[in-house]
Amino acid sequence: MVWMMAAIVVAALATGAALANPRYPHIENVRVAVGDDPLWAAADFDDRGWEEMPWYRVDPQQRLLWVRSEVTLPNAVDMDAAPLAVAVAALASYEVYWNGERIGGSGTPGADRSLELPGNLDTTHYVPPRLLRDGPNVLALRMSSFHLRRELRRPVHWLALAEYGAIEQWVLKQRLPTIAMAGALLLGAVYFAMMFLTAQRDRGSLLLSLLSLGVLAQLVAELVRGLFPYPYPLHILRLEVILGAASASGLLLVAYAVERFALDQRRWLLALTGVAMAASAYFAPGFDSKTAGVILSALVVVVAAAGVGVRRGVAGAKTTVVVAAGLLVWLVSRPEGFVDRTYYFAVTAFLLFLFVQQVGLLRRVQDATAMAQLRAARLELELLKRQIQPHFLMNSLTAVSEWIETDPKTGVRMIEALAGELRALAAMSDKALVPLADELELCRQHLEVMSYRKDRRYTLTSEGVDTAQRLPPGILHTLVENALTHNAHATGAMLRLEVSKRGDRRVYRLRTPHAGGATGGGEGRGHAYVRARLQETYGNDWAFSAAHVDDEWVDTIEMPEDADARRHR
Amino acid sequence: MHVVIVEDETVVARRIERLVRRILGSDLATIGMAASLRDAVGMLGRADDAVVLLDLNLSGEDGFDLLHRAAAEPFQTIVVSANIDRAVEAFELGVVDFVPKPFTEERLAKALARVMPRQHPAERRAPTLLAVTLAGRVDLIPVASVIAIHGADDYSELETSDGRRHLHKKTLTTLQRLLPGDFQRVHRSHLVNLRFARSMITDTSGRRVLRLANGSCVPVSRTHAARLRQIEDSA
Repeated sequence: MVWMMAAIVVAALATGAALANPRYPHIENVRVAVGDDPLWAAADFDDRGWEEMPWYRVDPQQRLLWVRSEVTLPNAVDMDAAPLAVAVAALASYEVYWNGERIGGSGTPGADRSLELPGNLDTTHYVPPRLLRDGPNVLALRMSSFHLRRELRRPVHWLALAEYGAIEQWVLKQRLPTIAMAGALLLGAVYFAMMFLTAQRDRGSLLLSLLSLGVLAQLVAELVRGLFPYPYPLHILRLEVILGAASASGLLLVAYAVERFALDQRRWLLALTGVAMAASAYFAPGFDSKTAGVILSALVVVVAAAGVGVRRGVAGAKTTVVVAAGLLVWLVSRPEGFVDRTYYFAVTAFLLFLFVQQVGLLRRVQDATAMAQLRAARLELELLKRQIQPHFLMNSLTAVSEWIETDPKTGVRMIEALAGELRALAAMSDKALVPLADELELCRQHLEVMSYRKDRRYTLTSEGVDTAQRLPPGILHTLVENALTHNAHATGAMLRLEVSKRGDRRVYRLRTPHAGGATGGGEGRGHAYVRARLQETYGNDWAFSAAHVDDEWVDTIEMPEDADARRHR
Repeated sequence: MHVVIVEDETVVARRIERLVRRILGSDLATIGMAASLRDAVGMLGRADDAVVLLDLNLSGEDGFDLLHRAAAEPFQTIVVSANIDRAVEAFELGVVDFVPKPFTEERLAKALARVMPRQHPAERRAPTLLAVTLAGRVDLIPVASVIAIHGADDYSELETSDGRRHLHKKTLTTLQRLLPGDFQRVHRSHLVNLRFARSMITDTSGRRVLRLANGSCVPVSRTHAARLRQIEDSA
């Protein structure tokens, strides 16, 4: 995982080579005058009285202005091999002049909103070689920006000289790896959505899927610039979409981390995130810092949530703290702005890290589910097997043979009882919980079979017992069976089931008269079944004991109250 | 015939008793019910036709141990059991028959017929092990290692190829009935495994003796000598 992230970051840095072509002079400072005069385009106009400032401070919002810059081209430049272009990226309409001649523009600048026609944000303009002079050349722009819904801090993004076509190539080169990231995010979104829909419906997968979509939305909104030219007023909408997607991703990221590591603290952690994000979005100046604030808020809470997870010993919490904190520190420490291409590399790598963890988590849950199913199947099989195991079945059939030959009517009644027990057992063996009424009925069918087999009378009383309460199947049946096997009752016996409450728990006591004879030995399997069933149903929240008390054998089962019993009734 | 039924299933025990009475009729000398093997041993004398009908699945008893202890007793044993997984082992230990539950009168009659002296030995599965008790422990002696068996009052003494001797509770008569054809009576009180017989000679005092592989000699009575020669000729 770590190497994967490292690889992505290195790739990002490697391709982030500067656009600056050393063959062309950098434009640094420009001269600016508000107003309009066609003469201002001229190469020999004296602009010494104009205000001088770096190009990125130029602000054409709510005004019409001219920008002039003197550039001296190196003689060595072979203009045929590398045609010159002016690259402009500004939230404004503008016209571009080279040595007094208009070489292009974007929209039509005007003195007020009604006179201005908005143009595209990013443009490049070819400078014909015939306009080029040795020595100083003058680049002039006429710009206005009346169509922005809000005031922006830096409406001019870019003003540079470049080889014609180089900008487009550079943009494409920048975008290609990002498209790969978009693919990874889309794949993650689809994969975890499918996991949520088809498998376990766990919230973690759903949140991760939505989170991938959120980051993907932010990335796509980011990618739109450069791939699809759009009029500059739409830029605000695009920035809003980015901020919105970032906020949604941040919230989803926090929700996911909280789901995994700190479910109990969910409310206040999510509230904290909401407040921090709202504050960032409201108070931070400029869209970039708003978006950055939103993302940082989310990451801080993720680190906190994972920290809670570490204290609780949740698997993967430690790694998550380290990775999320690392990402946080790296993002804050970067001098060259915040939300750029490298940021998306890092965030995608972080999501891949979460993907890997989530897949591991799903795998563990899947394994646990499979194990539980296997255990349940094994218990069901065991319950059924006990009834067809030779000692029970063959002795019963031998007794049936005897009754048929000596007292056919009793023989038929015994067959009825045997059928009743087998039927009752088949009906409940695949259930996780059965009402006590059904379990008691099974026990009584068994006692009836045993009565015919031993030609003695066995009964089970259960006065004042809430028969709607449910319990795992076959437990009492197993204990009743055990009680008869390990007691030599000469004249039959009356078994008693008593139920008492201990707080929110119920205690079942099965009392069997103890008439001496052998005990122990064969109890192992029956008791193992009882314990396994209780474990399967109640985890560790149960107790079972069997003891000889006075002249009785007492089996005691303690388990939680069946909260649903009344609703099921 | 003396019969004891060891069975803790009331109705099953009642069935066995009823059917045994019908099958044996006047051949039945005594019949009783026992709750355990120990009780059965106390109830039966040393009669050669004493039979225990044994359920291997007595509550609280280990069927394996029960089978071994029964095999070491003087009486013959018919196992009547719900579990047939011990059948092979039971036959190796010399039980007369293994009757799976549930059973018909015919099946039980067939088992009882095998106890009768007139039963042809070939129809029986011969044991491969003989159980002997020593200080309360049951040891199993491979039948193939037994060279000769000597009558010793109510017991019999097994002489094995490793030079040891073991006391067995069954009488020579009972053993002769159980053991494979290799074991031949050569004398009123000697049973010999013919695989280990080397030569029949007359010793200095004029007695006929059978010399065995381990060097010992077993006296041969006149009645058995003729039959031994027949076996020798046919071999």
